Amino acid sequence: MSKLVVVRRVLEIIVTLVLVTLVTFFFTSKLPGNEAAVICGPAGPACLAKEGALLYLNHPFFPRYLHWLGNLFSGTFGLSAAPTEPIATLLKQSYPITLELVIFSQLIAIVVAVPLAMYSAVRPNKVFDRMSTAATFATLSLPAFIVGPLLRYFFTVKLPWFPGAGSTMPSIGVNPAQNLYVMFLPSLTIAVGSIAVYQRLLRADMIATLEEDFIVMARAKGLTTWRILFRHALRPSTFTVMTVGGVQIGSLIVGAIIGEQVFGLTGLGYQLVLAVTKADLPTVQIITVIVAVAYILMNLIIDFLYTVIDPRVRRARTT
Amino acid sequence: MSRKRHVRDIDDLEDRPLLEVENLKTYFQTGHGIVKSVDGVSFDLERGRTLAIVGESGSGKTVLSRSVMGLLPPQNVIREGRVRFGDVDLTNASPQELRGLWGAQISMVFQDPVTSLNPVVRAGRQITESLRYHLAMSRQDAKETAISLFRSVGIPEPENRMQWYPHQFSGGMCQRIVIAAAIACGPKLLLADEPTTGLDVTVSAQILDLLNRLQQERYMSVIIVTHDLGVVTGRSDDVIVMYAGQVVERAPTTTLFRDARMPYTEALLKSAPRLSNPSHTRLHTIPGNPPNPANLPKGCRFAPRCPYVQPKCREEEPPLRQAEAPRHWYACWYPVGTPEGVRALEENQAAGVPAAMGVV
Ligand SMILES: Nc1ncnc2c1ncn2[C@@H]1O[C@H](COP(=O)(O)OP(=O)(O)O)[C@@H](O)[C@H]1O
Ligand SMILES: [Mg+2]
Repeated sequence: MSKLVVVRRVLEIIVTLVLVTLVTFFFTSKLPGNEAAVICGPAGPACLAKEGALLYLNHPFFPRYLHWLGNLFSGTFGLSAAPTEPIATLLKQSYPITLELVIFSQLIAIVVAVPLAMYSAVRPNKVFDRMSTAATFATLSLPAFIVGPLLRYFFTVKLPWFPGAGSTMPSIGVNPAQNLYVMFLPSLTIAVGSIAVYQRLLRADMIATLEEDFIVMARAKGLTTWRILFRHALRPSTFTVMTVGGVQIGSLIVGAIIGEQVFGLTGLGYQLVLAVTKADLPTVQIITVIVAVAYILMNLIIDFLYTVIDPRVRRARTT
Repeated sequence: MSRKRHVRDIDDLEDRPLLEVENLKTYFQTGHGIVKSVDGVSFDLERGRTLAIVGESGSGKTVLSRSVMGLLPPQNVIREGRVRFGDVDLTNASPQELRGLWGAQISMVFQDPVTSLNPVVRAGRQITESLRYHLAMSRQDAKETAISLFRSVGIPEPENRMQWYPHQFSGGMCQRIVIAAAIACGPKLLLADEPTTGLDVTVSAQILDLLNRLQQERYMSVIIVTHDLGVVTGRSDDVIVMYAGQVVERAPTTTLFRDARMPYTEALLKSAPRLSNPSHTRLHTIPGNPPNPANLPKGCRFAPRCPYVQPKCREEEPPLRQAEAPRHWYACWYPVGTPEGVRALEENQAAGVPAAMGVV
């Protein structure tokens, strides 16, 4: 990428971040309730005045926003309302769980969807294609809040193959096997929604790719079907899937919230729901911004992946 | 670690041509009925010789070349007849056996070089993959071989260009890469399907010269498919003229140019641009369109467009007949340059038959 493009890209991100934080702060500060009241609980007006001053509650909108932004960028993120503790501490414990959940679920989705899509594309409209398309279509009508409880019921209660909700979970660095064992069902809950999407998009693009001249040429070179699929057809067939994958991150967050609830994992989604029920406005604001930033980052990564996957994009960007 | 070669070795049969195609038919089953794209084609090709297959667009050249190779996808295709290549019967070969031949013993150069190269794979890899797969070369050997192949097809700075992606090359350079990929494993037979369509005249001449040179250096048999007879002058030993899925004339190139018998060949010859002609010379185009291969006319398939057409032509299909010159065959009831042909044309002109009026 040329310097100019990088500069433009960075400016874009800065503008987006400003807008995202502004909008988040604006709407959450319009919510009914008073943070100071939540913090103080039954304590008296003295407490209200003190906390209100700390939160800049008696200031106009913009200074209040700037104060909040200052906390955000200093990395302390301010204090949560109930109980009063640094939000940074809370995040440090919860974000790895959500991150792992999202990544693991997408790996599961890819591992299931890619072979299904490939095999379907090689023999489109044949028995296997019809069956896998029907099966993945059925999963589309199963939202995570149904899949999650079902999985939990069947595979932790009926057939206790997996640890039940709230089991202790070592971090992935300490005991990866045990960690993945606990994370599997929650990740699968989120993956189910992605499998159908990936399978269908990849199948459609793959069928189109397999009609290309360069696939005929690869066949004429005598390469095996396996090589042709993985070395020649897969990469050029992933553009739509990647684009949609980036947009889908929103629904993954929703999936994570549900998955964490159902399986009692204290990730960001869990903390978000908890903060909402406690009217802990500062925490809600911060988690909302984090989700938005994750969304921006994800799309940035995907933009970068395009250039890795398609050399033509690389050149278009530099000229 | 020793790697496995994936080549089906072939033996040349003594006193027999390298390739023999016998009454090859290739039909497609479609919603609109059966499409007879190739309908009973026979020819043979000796080792080290070049055969040109000429015909208008839609006459079945691409289907024929792919059918010879066995490259058509099996769905909806009816393929009959026999193709013998060395000691292998291609029509009965297993998919595995075919893969051992494709790219190793029989290769194809495609019409559109830009779309035949994988846009996301570096040029070098598109050459080395065959070398590594078929010939089990080490990474380093394959790389060195690919560089020398690049050099022999005329790509400048080959070490550097190996790293390029297809979109960084011009159309002509892409076709050189496709050719390098096709000859990489030293095939005995090379099929080139309109290898220069879409390239400008100068580049196209360079590509044809390159194919000729490689053919002589490597003693390959070459089948070159084209819609332009001008392309094959002086470059092919024999010519097959195809019309509506059939061979209508077959002859050594010089014989064909001097002594064409089939009115369709005559029309093609008139429509061929000559490099010697000034570029503004108006080309003679053949009036009308080739028949729909799903709904072929009775009798001679060229009859509806033929200046020589007679009632018999619309009733009976002319068989391939031998002309006086050796190895010259044609399918026509009223051949060009014979008394019957001359009479037929004069009658038609007198009667004002539209197809005959443009013929001088
Ligand atoms: N897969 C297919 N299904 C049905 N018809 C086909 C198929 N491939 C080619 N054809 C038909 O066969 C005829 C010959 O095509 P082709 O070999 O491509 O002609 P050429 O290469 O001489 O221009 C055309 O009429 C074309 O429509
Ligand atoms: Mg063609």
